[in-house]
Amino acid sequence: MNGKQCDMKGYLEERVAQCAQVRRELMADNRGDEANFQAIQGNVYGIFSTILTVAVEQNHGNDQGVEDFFLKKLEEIPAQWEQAREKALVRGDDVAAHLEGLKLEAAQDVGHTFREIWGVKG
Amino acid sequence: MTETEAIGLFKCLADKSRLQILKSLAVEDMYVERLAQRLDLTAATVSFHLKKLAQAGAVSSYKSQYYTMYALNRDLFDTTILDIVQEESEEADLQAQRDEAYRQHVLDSFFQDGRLKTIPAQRKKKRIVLQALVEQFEPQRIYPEPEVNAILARYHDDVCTLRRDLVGEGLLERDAQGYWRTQDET
Repeated sequence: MNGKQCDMKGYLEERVAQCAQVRRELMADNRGDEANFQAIQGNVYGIFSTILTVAVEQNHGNDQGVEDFFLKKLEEIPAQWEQAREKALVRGDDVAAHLEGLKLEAAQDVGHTFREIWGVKG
Repeated sequence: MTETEAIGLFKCLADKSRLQILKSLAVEDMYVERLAQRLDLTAATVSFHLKKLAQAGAVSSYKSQYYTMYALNRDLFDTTILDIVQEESEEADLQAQRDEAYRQHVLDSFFQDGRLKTIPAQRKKKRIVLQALVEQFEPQRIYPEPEVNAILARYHDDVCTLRRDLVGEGLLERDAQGYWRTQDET
């Protein structure tokens, strides 16, 4: 992995660890649902950490290839969550909608950081 | 409150943040942002908890100018835990069916060709057997001891033990005149 890739990987792994730590603290504080929110967001960071690894493996020495692969997944995967969120809102399931919203929030954070590290505009 | 509603409520209350929200609402009605600021939670998190509390019937909302205000459903919290526990179980019929199946199983095990094979040692089983035997006595009739013995002898040779156990379990009563079936033999 080059510098940018390492930075991104480091950020994602740090977020996974942070979510796990906060989750443990919330569990100990009897805040089960909020602990679950952290687990959900931690999973999202974990998914994109895996995607980054795959992107790098499939695009050796091709930084643009890694960027394209990663950004494509960053569009495709949250689109499913957005759909699920909209469906939940339609059926009046605000709780499920909130959970999908948490995934989207984490994905947005990943996208923002990726673009910052990669120097991608938009 | 139904059993399902009670379970939903207890589950909902088993969360520190939701308890903090309820404590705040016990003081006065509040809107999401005020609760969020007071409890150091995000507005989205507070909304999530309020939805769950509303689903459990613990809070309700109303519009006040630009705000959606949330209020504690005080009626619900006037219900005592004893009230909830004393509600008839949603499984009452099922439990009665299971009890009946067990009763039948015990009778099938201890009776053969209309005779009691052995007097059960276990109290619960013995009571079931004795309840079946007491059915042989007409209500509101006094039986002299020899007649009681004769009836019980149709089922088992140890009529003394059966007679004593029927009295001991409160299924038969006796005085100097004889024995009679108690009003409530369940």
